[in-house]
Amino acid sequence: MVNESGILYTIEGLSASILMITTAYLVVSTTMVFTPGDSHIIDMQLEQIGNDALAVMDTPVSYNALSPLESSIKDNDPNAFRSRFLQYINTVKPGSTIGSDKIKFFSEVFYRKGDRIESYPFADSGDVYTGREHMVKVSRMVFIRDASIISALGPDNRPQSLLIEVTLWRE
Amino acid sequence: MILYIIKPLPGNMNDKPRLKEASIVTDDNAQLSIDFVVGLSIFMIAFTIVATMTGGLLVGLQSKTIDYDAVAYRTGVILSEDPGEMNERVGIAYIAPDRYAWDLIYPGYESYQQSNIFRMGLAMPRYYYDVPPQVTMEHKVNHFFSNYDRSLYKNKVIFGDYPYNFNISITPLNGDNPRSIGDPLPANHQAGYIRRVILIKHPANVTLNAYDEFGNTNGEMIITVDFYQLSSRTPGYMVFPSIEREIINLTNFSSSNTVINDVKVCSPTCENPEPSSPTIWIKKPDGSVFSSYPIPPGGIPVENGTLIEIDPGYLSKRYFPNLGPVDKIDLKIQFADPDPNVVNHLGGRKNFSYSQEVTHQESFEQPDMSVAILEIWIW
Amino acid sequence: MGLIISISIFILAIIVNQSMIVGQTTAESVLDFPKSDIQDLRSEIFRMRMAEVDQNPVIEDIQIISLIRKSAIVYIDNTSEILIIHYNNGVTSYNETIRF
Repeated sequence: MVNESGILYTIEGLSASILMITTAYLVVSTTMVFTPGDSHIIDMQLEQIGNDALAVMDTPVSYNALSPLESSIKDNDPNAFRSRFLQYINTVKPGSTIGSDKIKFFSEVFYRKGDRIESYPFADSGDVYTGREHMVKVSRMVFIRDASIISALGPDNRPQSLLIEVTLWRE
Repeated sequence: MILYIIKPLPGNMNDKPRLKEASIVTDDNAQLSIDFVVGLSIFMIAFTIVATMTGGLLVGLQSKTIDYDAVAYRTGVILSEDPGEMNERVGIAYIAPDRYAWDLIYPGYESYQQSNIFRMGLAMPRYYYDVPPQVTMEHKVNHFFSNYDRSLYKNKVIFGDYPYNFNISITPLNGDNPRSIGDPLPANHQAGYIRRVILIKHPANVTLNAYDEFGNTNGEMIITVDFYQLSSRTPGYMVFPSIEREIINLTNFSSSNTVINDVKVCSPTCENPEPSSPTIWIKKPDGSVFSSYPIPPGGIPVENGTLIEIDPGYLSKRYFPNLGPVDKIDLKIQFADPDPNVVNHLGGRKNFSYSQEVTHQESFEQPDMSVAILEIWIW
Repeated sequence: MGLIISISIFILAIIVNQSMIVGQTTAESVLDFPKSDIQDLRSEIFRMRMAEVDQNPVIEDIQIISLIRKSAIVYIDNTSEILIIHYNNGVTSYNETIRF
C-alpha cells in the first residue's frame, strides 16, 4: 500500500521548509545590528574631548594673560601640561560608576625650521609602553610670543606658531 | 403475440465488479493522500518558524541604538557651542534683550516660551568675529540647570521624534557644586554618551570708593555705564551690560548712619527702577536684599561692602527705548546722613569701566573663566 | 510559496545591510569634518593679529605646518584693512573675508 506515488508532495514540502528556514537563519542571525559604527563612535568621542581640552587650555582665563598652554610650552614645563590636561580629559561626574576615566596621552611639539618641520617630544602620561587601541590624534596650534627658553630645544628664537600634537588612547 | 420481458438474468449480477474491503486508497488523484498531509504539515511548521524569525529582522531596521551617540553629540554641540536662539525677530525687544537671550525672557512672556524659544544653548553669542567658541555664560548655565521642564527641554535641546530619555550634568573643576538635570541614569541600558570641556565666563564687579575728597557732591553718586567704552576689549573678556549681571561694591563709608534715599536710572531722562526683576537690587553683606524701588521710608542703611546689582537684561531696549550701542546709562544713587559734612563728601562721578582709580581703592575685577565638564547621556 | 518568502526576506536583508552603512557614516562624517582645525586656525590668526609682532614669518609657520602635518592648504592674506583666510583639506573648504 505504500509506494512513491505521492512522494512529490512530501519532497516539495520538505525542500520548501528547509529553504525558508536556512535563508531566514542566514539573514537574521548575520544582520544583528549591534551598532556597527561602534569603533568610529569611540574615536569620535575621544577626539572631541581631546580637542575640547586643548582648546580650553589655549584660552587665557583672564584678560591680557597667557593661556595655560602657551605658558607651559613657553617655559618648557611638561608637568604643568600633564596635570592640567589629565584633569580636563579624565574628570567625570562625581558618583558615577567609573570614578574617573582612564585616558592616557603622549605629545610632541612641531616647529618650522626654514622649509622643514622638526619636532621635540613634550609631555606624556607616564608609562607609554602598553598597547594602544583606538588611538586618536588631536592637535592645536599655539602662538608663542617669547621663544627664548625653548630655542634650546630647536625652534628659532622668534615669535612663532607651533603645533602640539597629542595622541590619546583609553587604557 | 408473445411478449418478451427482458429481465436481467440473475447471472448478470455476477458481472458487476466486486467491492474490495474498506482500506486506504493509494491513488494519485486523491486530495488527502497521506503524503500530501505530511508534506503540508512540514511546510506549515517551517513557515510558522520563519514568520516568528522575521519579527527579529524588523527590529534592526529601527536602528535607534546607533542614533543615541549621534543625538548625544548633537546635543553636546548645541549646548557648548551654540548661544541658542529665539523665534521672534521683529518684536524681539519686547520679549527678551536680544535674539540669543532665551534665558532672559521678560516677565509676562514666560508662557510664550514653548513657541518663542527656538533652541537653547549656553555659549556666548557671536556678536564679534573673534568670540572664542568654547566659552559659555554663567547666567545661561545657571538658568539651564535650575529651570528644568522636561517637555520644553526635549523640544528645544534634544530634538527628534523618538522619545529619548536624557541626563545632562555639569561638573565644575573649581570646586562648585556639580549639577544635573534629566532622568536618573539607568544601570543596564546602553546609553549614547558625550563629554565636553567648557569655560564659564562670570559677571564682573567694580569696587567704588564712596568717599569723594573734593566735596560738593550733595550725597549723590552717579555711576556711568558706557556701552561704547565697555566694548573696547576682546570679546571673551568684555562686559555685555544688556545681558550680563553688573555688580557694584561700595566701600569706605565713614559714617554708620548713612542711608540710601533714592535710586534712579537715567538715559538721559531719569526714572525709577522696576519694582521687580529685572531691576536693580541693593544687597547688604549679611545677605539681606532690598529692592531699589520703592525704597522703604527711612532709606536703606549702607555699610562697607553693600552691593548694588543690576540684573541681566535690565539695561536693554525694552526698559530704555532710546538705547543704542554707543550710549550710556547713568545710575544715580542719593545718599543721606544726619551729618551734612559727611553728605558733602559722599558720592561723586564714577564709571563702571575697566580702568579704575586704584589709588582711591577702586578696582575692576573680572573673575577668571572657570573650567567645567559637561556630560550628556541619551537612552 | 516558500520561494516567494525567501525572495522577500532577501530583499529585506539588503535593506538592513544598507542601513548598517548609514549608521557608520554618522560618526565617520563627524570625524571627517575639520571643525576643530578651522576653529583653531581662526583663533591662531586672530591672536597673531593682536600681538605686536612681525607677522609674515608666523603666517608662513601656519601655512607650512598645516600643509605638512595636517594635509591642509591654508592661505592667509593679512593687511590692516582686510583679512582673508582660505582653508582646504581635500574634503572641506573654508573661506573667510573680514573687512575692518
